[in-house]
Amino acid sequence: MIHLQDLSRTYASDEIETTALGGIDLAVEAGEFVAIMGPSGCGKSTLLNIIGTIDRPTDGRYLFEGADIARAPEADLAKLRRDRLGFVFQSFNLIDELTIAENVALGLAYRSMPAREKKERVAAAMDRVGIAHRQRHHPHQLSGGQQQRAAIARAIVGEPRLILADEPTGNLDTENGAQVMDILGQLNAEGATIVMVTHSPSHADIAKRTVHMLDGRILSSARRVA
Amino acid sequence: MSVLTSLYRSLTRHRLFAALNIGGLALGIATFLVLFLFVQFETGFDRVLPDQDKLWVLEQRYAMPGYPTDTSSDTLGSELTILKADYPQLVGTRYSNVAATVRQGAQATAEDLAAVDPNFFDLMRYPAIEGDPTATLADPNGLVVTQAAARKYFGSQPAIGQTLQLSIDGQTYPYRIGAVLRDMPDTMTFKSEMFAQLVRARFGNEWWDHWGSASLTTILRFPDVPAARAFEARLPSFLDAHAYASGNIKKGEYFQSLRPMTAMHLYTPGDRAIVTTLGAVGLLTLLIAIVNYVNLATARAGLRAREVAMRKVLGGTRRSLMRQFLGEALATVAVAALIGLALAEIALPFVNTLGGTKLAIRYLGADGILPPLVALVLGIALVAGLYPAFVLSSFRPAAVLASTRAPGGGRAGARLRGGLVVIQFAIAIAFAIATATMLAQTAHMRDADLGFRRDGLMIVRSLMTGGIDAPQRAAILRALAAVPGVTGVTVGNNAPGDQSTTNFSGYTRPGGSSVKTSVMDVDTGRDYFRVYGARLIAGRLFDTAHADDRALLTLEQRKRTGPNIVINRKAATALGFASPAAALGQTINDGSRPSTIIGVVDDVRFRSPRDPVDPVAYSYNSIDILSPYAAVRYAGDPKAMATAMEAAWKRVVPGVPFDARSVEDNLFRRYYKADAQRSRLFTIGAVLAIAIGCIGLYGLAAFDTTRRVKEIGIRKTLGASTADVLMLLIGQFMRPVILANIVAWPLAYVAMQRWLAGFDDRIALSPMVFLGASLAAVLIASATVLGQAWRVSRAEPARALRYE
Repeated sequence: MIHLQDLSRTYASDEIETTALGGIDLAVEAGEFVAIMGPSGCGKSTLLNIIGTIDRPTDGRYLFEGADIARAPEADLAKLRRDRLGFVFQSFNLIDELTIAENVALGLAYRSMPAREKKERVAAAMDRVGIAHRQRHHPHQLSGGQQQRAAIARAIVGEPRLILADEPTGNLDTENGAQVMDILGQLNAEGATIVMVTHSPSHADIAKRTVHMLDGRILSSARRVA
Repeated sequence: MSVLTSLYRSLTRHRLFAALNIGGLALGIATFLVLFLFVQFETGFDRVLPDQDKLWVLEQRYAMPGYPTDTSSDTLGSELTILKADYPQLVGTRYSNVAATVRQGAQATAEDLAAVDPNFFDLMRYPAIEGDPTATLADPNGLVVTQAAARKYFGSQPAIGQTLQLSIDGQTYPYRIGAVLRDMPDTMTFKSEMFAQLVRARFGNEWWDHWGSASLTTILRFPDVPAARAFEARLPSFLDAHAYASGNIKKGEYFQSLRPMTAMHLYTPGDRAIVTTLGAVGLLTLLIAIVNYVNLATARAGLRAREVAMRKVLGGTRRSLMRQFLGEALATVAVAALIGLALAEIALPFVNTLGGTKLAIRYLGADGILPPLVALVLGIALVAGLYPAFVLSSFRPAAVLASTRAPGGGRAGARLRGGLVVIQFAIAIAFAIATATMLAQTAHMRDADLGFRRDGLMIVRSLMTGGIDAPQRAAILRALAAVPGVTGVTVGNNAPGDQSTTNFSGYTRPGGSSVKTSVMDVDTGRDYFRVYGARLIAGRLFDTAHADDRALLTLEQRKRTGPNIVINRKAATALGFASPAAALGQTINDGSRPSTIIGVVDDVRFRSPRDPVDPVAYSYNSIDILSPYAAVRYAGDPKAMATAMEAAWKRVVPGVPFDARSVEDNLFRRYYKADAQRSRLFTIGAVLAIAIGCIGLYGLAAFDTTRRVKEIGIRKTLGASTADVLMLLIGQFMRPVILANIVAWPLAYVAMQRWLAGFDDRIALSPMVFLGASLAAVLIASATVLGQAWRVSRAEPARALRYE
């Protein structure tokens, strides 16, 4: 599904050039659940952002389902994100002014679809993660775990082929973290491809493969033995 | 840390907001100051006189069925004498402005002279620098002059005791100067350079005792308003006893009343309305600027939330924070006021040129600007600072410090900002509609068909100067006709912008209704219609070959002769003829003799576009017209023509000053210029108001998009394209702007309908103006927001998501 070849990302300021990623080669097949681990600042989130097309590589190739999208026009990338990707963030990134239902509906906001179908899919997604009863609330009225479940509902409402999760349990307590990981595990079991950045070895264990990174490079990639 | 240090840091850290906030407020204050000066000038007339509120002007009003009410502040010359016979306790004086010529050897200088009763300066207590004005005016040959007039004729020599030879109506009298007045300000209604005793034999005319005539101003003094109103209540019985019995005027059609002298300057409702409107523009512009300040300040409050929280954590009380933010508001407003003052000073010469005003800022003194400005600064600081201070000081420190995003005053704050944007744009859109309508009306008046050709026409006003006899007038007309380039010369007792005598007669049609139709009599000389270029629409014009076309002027002669007349279109309609052609050959009777209609001309507008064109009956006077104006049609350079005409004039009457004006100077300067200038002042105010509104919207857009960077990032991550984001941001700002249209349209419609109703010659209120103004508002608002929205919508989502 994803093939990254000799991919790099550098950030340039006036005086200094920082290499966030250098010479990354990574392949993720459909249906995989990949955990990316490594110390802070090693480039995990940058890698996830590039996979999610919300950042661009400085060099290298990025093949998504066979098409090189490293330098694709922004409009094509927006379309790709809209139709095939789902995002879950550490800080949830829900919009405070919108209700939970409206936040979840945002996952379909930029697709043309009959309003009724949108409504049904939003209801189903909220139901799926167990926050249907809080649909009229605003994010600040919910616990962290509930907010992250709402964010997952928003990520899956569009039935994406690839879910990208950036430390989805980073802001949650153990119990809520476990619930979120359960949901991600179920989604993967139902066929969704998941790439997740995490600091937690136990959560990484739930993934089928763990990629270790250091200083912008991939150190190892190990499949879990069932 | 002092308020000023805190303010300085806050301003320099957020330069854009500081510039928008202070700049917008300064612009608002400058606009307000200039328009405040205008209103102060226009409403400050005669305030220089002590006890000015005790003085009242006697005015008369004609209200004839089918005609607009005609009010005049002049009444008959002898009315004060008749009033005093009935009410011996009455205190009053009279004022008549007459044209006089000062003769010094061969040199003749035209001067405005006020003929007044000897007690004039007892009522109008204007200070004399030297001499006693009242004692001077007790002498029929005593003269009171202003400092400027004294300097003009005697330089640095003492003027008291000097003699000036004054020609009045052809007679020359030696006047001895007995008092010198300080120069009179522009804000005096009854002003002049020279004052002489109102001697009937010198200044009176045949209409002196004619009820209904408008010869001079009668000013009465009452101890208080109730006394004035009580006297006013007696006027109907006074008129019953004296006026209606004369037979000139009819009960029910003619009234008299009193008007406070201080209300003389803004005489017509239209004048008062425009001053009120411009005052309102000033206030509303200031309001828009204050709204901006409040909006940006509350919006920015969020950016300082952490500072507030930390101050609270460190023990700052709510009261101390309120004090700090109010102090900052005061300092900001004071800076804005200083800049506004400087802007107003810079703009005033420009505004004076465009608006035809002589406004100047006086800092101290009775009408100094500093005390109200200080009050204004305190007021704005309180109004503009209170809400932000309240919002800021009410933040709960724990919540703010724990929150990852900046508070923006919450939903209530957003709603308030939205509401304020609606108010701002409603005012701005209403201003835009009003401006477009005013400019269209001004352009319409400028280009309107007045019924005559205005170019290449000179009005010789000095022909009506007293002291020129009939043979001299005839010689002058011949001399003018002989000037190379002159293609026609005529006379009449009216001209564009002038009318020497206004006389309406009640006409009836034989066999028709007995109700009289009021028609204005105009005496014309040879070639009147040809020289003016008036359009004949039926019949024929006067012709020297027809002996019975000729009319003679005096009342006695008129009673014997029934001349042929030409009427205008309005008269044909008023007299009930089915068409102009139907009037031809018909006779109409003014009660003394029948006149035959030989032609109908199109309406000619010689006076204000505000007043309807009167029905007119023109008669042809082939011998001599009393107090005539000459009109000279010419081809060539106006300046060279004026010089050549003056030379021709001087050859016939070297002792009489020559006064000739173009239609532009005589008609437009008098009746059109004020409206055009006020429209320009309004336009300046309106454009600034719209600009300040846009500054506010820009500031809000900048704030709001900055605040929403992260949200935009989320939306883009979820697949929103740049266009989606642009639509979202601009659409959100368009909602209040579109709502503002709904508020602005009815307001502008009512206001402009009322304003246009003040003009007889007016444009129709076009829906295109409304649509255009609204479209412009939407476009301007979109352009204002677009820059900010574009910047944010193009940002990389990953970077936006990291934004805090």
